[in-house]
Amino acid sequence: SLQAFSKGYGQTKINVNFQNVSLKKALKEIEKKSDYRFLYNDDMLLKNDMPASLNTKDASLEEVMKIVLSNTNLNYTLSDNNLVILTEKGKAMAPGTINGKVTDETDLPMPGVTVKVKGTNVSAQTDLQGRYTLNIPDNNTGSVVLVFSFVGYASQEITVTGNSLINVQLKAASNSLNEVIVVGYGTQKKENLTGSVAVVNLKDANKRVTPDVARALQGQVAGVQVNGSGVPGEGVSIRIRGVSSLNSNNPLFIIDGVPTFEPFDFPNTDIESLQVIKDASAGAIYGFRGANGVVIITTKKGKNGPMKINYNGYAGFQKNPKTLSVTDRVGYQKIANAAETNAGLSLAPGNDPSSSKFISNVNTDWQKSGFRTGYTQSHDLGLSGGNDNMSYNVAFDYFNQTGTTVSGPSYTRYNLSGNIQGKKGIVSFGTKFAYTEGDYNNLAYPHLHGTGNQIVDLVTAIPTMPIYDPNRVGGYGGVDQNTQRAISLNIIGVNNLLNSTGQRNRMMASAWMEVDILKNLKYRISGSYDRNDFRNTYFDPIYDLGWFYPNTTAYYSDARGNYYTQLIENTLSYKLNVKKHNFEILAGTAYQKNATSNLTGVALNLPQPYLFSLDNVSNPANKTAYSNSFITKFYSPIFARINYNYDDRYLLTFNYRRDGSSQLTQQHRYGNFPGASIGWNINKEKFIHLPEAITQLKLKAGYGILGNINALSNPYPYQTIVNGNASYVFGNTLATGTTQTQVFDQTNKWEGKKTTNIGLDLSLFHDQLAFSSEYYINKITGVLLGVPIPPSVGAINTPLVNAASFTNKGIEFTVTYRSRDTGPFNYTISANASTVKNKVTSLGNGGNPIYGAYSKTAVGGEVGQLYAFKTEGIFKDAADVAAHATQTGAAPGDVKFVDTNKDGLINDADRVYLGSAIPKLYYGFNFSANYKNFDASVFIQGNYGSKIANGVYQALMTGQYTNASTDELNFWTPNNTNTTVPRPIIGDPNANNRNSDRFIQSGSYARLQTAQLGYTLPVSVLNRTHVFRSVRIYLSGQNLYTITKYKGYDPDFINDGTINRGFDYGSFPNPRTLLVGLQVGL
Amino acid sequence: VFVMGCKKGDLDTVNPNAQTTQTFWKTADDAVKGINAVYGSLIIDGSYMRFSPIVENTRGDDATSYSPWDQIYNMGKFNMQSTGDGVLFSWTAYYQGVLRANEVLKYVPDINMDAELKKRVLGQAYFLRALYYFHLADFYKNVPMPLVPASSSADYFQKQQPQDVVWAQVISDFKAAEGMLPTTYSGLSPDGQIGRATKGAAAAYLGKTYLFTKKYTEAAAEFKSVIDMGLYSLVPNYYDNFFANNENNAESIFEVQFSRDAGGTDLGWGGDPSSGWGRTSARAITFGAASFGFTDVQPTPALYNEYLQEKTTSGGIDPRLDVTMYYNKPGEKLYNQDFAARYAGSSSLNALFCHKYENGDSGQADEYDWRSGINERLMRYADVLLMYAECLNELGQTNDAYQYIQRVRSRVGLPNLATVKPGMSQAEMRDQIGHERFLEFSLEGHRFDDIRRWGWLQDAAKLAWLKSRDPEFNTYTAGKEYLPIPLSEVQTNVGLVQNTGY
Repeated sequence: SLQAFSKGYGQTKINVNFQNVSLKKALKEIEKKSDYRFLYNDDMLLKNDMPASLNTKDASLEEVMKIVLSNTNLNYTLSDNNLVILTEKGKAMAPGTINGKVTDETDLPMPGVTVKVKGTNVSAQTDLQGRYTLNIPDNNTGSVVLVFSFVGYASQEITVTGNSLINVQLKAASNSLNEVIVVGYGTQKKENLTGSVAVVNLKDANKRVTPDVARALQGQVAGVQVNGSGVPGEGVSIRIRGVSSLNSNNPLFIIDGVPTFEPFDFPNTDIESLQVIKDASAGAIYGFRGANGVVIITTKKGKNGPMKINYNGYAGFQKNPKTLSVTDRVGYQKIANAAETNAGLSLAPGNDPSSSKFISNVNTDWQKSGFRTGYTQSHDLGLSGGNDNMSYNVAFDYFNQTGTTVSGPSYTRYNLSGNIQGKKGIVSFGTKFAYTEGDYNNLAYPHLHGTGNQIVDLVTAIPTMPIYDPNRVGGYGGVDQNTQRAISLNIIGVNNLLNSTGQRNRMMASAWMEVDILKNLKYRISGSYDRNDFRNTYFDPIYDLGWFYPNTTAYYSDARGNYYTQLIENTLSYKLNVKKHNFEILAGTAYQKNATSNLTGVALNLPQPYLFSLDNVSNPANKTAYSNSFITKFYSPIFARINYNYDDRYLLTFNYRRDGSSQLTQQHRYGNFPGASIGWNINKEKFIHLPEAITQLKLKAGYGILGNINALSNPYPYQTIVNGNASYVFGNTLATGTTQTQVFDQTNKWEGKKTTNIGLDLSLFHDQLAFSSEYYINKITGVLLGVPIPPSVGAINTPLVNAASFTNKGIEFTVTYRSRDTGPFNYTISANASTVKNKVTSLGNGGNPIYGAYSKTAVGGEVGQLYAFKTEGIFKDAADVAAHATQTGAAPGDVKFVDTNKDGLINDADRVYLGSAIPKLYYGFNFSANYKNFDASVFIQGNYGSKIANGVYQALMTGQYTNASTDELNFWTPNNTNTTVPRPIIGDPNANNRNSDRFIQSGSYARLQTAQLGYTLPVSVLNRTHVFRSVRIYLSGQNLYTITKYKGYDPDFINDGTINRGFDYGSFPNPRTLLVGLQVGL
Repeated sequence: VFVMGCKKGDLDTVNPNAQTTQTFWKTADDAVKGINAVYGSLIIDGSYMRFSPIVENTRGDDATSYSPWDQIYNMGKFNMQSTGDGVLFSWTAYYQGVLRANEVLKYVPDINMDAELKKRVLGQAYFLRALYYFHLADFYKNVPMPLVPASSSADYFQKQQPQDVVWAQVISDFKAAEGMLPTTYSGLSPDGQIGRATKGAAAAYLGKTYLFTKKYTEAAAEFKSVIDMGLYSLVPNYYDNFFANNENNAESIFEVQFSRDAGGTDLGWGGDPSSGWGRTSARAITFGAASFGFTDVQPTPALYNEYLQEKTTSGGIDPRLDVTMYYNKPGEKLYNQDFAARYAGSSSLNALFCHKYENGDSGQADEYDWRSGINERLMRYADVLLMYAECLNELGQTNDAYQYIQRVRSRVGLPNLATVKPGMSQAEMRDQIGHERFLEFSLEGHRFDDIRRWGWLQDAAKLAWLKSRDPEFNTYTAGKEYLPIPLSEVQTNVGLVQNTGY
């Protein structure tokens, strides 16, 4: 292999001391202690490998080389940039002319590529068309080797065998150390990063078919936990290094400098690079908004060259991968009859074989009828190009997903974006515009019944309810009070009859300008405007879905509004290099305004046929416009950063931001957030001799403080407002009532998040094998927490107070191995794993625990630990009941709860912790390979060591008037006592179905998240078309197989992610997807 | 042009959508709006929009529940869990009302306004706070008792008070209200609306509180004062007490106001009030007859049978039976449909359904829009008469009790008790009053209060008798005459003791 390094001019005196080392080692030592770099051929060196010894003080190159090469057959020449080229003595150069063209992987010409005759200083550079001409002194071209090199690309050697035309295609280098990473308000070389910044492998991440970049992060980055449901277009829950707040935990996304918490409005294929900032030492520059971590997204920009056209598309189908085993008609009737008999009730006529109303001809399988095959497709078209002065990139995108439930949710997105960058003299500028329309069909629910859960409604719907019933208004089936007696909702009917839509129209525009005021001094101003216009409609027509679910009043609501973020930022940056001291200094200010306004109109008693124009509702009393509001929030930070390194060896970064927010009272308004990190590139150290295999070894450590007030959703949280709708009625006249209905805390201040981390980056064999590991401790204090207050306060809200503090600790590993891309078969394996250990160190209100659904969060424990009753079997007879601690309502066949506090009484005080809702380990594993024109990849993701309270299973085990899990069929009877399933009984007097360990299951899983197989058409075929630059087709599967003991639909589910994080109450299951894709370049 | 960050003042914002307490509570108009808001807590889910009638009625032997919703089904079976919504709804509703009353009592005294109006506003605040604490002590026994709005987080955690301390506060507040409230609002401005709490209402409730705490002398004095006011009388037609017509009539001393005509159409379950809320009740749909409502609560056969025990002077059936319930009798109609035809061939044909507080005679087709405008009569003059009679009996003036009982009986054509059952002993008279109250106030939420305060649950014979009338008493165990304190209160208000039995 050939190695070429280039470096700035430096000192030329050489001080080395070595004895009897190999020639190669000798040259390396000289490189390390001087600014000279050697260019040689390994084979040539092997042939001439005489042991060398040297002890010099302030020697010149000439003196040194004379000694080192004394016993060899080698010569040297000094070239530009202190490059020393070694050649074999007496090797004659072959004169003549060689020319050709250099192109990149996409067949575009590459200007500026260095072409060298190996072992000489004869070289040339390619022109704008990628062409080069090289004059070789000797006519003997038989043994000449040409070396083609370009920064960021793998160098190539071509042996010239009499040909005078040599065309070469260069491939991007796999060495990532020289990669330039976008950090807050600037860039940094990956090699010199000191903060916790993870670079996402987009190639792997983009194999995940999703419209949401946040979802694509799942399993790709150590320390980033993503959970989501299968609802099309629904956002996900992201936790970077665990829960850092009890309210708002999603990270800040910076898309081309524009901050947003809603990253889901543009195609992932438009992303050029993706970084995740995990700690305060790096994130401090984003201040409080980055307290939960920052994801920096840079979208594609045009590159020099003629216009490139890229098309990416796929289409496929999706299915719910799992069916819960629930009872059919016979099983349901058996359980319901037993429940009624046990309660001393007569049998519901519909379940009573002796009744004339007995139902034997309806046996609805609600899951089979309610889930269907969904479809998804995506088409992106990108155009880009540019020249020295201007470049552009334009993208069109269409995405559609129909979801996997009958008439259930769907999502369609249209996106158009474009950007231009230009430069003239000292001024450069850029502007970007993106417009998105997102259309959502949402799950709907009858407006008079509050909110339930559609998944629970579907699986617990009774088999004796028909889906269709032409005799009922609306045509869908329901239960009859006098026949089935059950409350059961026909959710298929609901989804067909009701209509709930959402539309988002989002415009994101930004522009920036940079002026090189002086050499190394830059001023930059940028502005952005990110506006969302939304419209949500809801329609609930007249229908009869049976007992409890008739709707006699058609209802329509139309809510519209917008919210926007305006941001102006100014930065000054200055670079200073004094000898080996390199400084980069940046300072800036920003001013941000967030505003929201909305208006809702409601109409009742719409005439049929239903038309959604309020003009069709003639009675003005039937239409109201109400609930409009306008809110504004302001932030005004100043910030600064210093990057310093000494000789690329000692690295230091300091970040600072001062934030102000209109959401805090004047005395608590401003917060100061510093962060600092240091790094040591040990491999660059001259006094440490590392094995040659080590390309990089870096130690780094960081500490920083971040503030956070994202939890303050109320824009005016400390203002004690009164509500003017607390009205009453006297006679038939409304009597306006006004009063304070909420309590407020005027002492809210910034949450503090102190992050400490130390890390190690190790890269071996020229970055073929890379390993990095980090240990972090995040201490979060004054967490803004809606500490539940006693209902006896009389307030309808839970005021946020800076109450809790907790610690997250964890360790993260990432390892990547890339095969040498020499043969036809290449592969990359990467794996990541992370842990997070959460501990609550204090809670507000005197440390009272906070209880959630199935959880208790207390000092000394972790957030959202599962908490419920423990069970110890079933009461076998009256004596058993009498012998047990007093358990009100208990009878033989009921669940025996453990008297954990031994007070002889089973009550709420007997609940105990039943496991952690936070996995001990999160992991992801990527394998990708290609052989010739085929490529394949596999991505496995999962977590280990958590428990889930399965609310769906609990709902299927009530033993009352709902459909049941088939497990329920094994219910206790005096003749079936060897069971853990209690007797069914209406009213459940013993509360058998209360929260208990019966419904807590393992949350561990490993999922084959994606598998992909692709084929790229050979260049030889494409060249014949004269049209296509590249064509790849692929097959992809997603969510293909899951190993888990969890009995619910999906161990990857969504909820609040904090206090209730271990509770799954009907999260929409993630679909299994199979699709074909096509990628074309023109 | 290096633009600096914003000036300090730019971060000062004012909420453009709502007034704050700094700008409110300044005028007489604010005081009236403030007191109106206290009434607002009467018409949300936990109070009289839905759940209080459920709590009050299902536990008596006049009503039973076969609801498929366990929160209603288990209420009358004394089987509620502290985690259940059913016990939380009422707890939050009444404390919400307490907070609103406390706000009026805190802010209104400092408002510069007409002294008489201020007195009336404060009087109503005392009345309503007493009414809310009455319900809390009645439902939950020993409860926290905030008397001022919480001004800091330290105030959130109010100590639990023994029930007698709460009763003493209720008495004190009703007394204050009695002294400040007018006998009528007719002709007053700007608060001249009918439906506000009056002196009579305060006196009647004060008497009721004395009765519940067995202070018969004081109770008798209050009831007598109401009777002597001469403002109230029994309406000739018993029917006029329970439907949308003839609301706020001469017999009504205090009633919760509902209307289908005012406000929005959303159901005002609770939470932060919005302008879309209607001011209607969901009692009618919840208690409603099969196929017209949800039938979560039904009259018991014991109630039906008890109405048949005594014929009217003209030999007819006690007219209160038909006002109370729908059942299969010739010509029975509900919601413009024929009962026998509508339920032919179904188990509902022989069922009993609530008629009181339902809209079955109003021309409505059913209750399925959830919106009933029928006012809930909390305090009727008939109740004052019977409670007064009870006081007299307890004070040993059994003979004097006859005349007051008879006024209630005569209205529905029942024969003179002094003739039918002359010379009853005090104990016999107690049972007689029990019978009279059972029939007069069926489905009005008084029965369980009576059973409990008369000690029947601790009396083995009486409890056995109750079980024979309403099997729901089979699952009654000691302590369950009070609801469990909601777990969300127990868990947050450390030191609070859960009621016995839970």
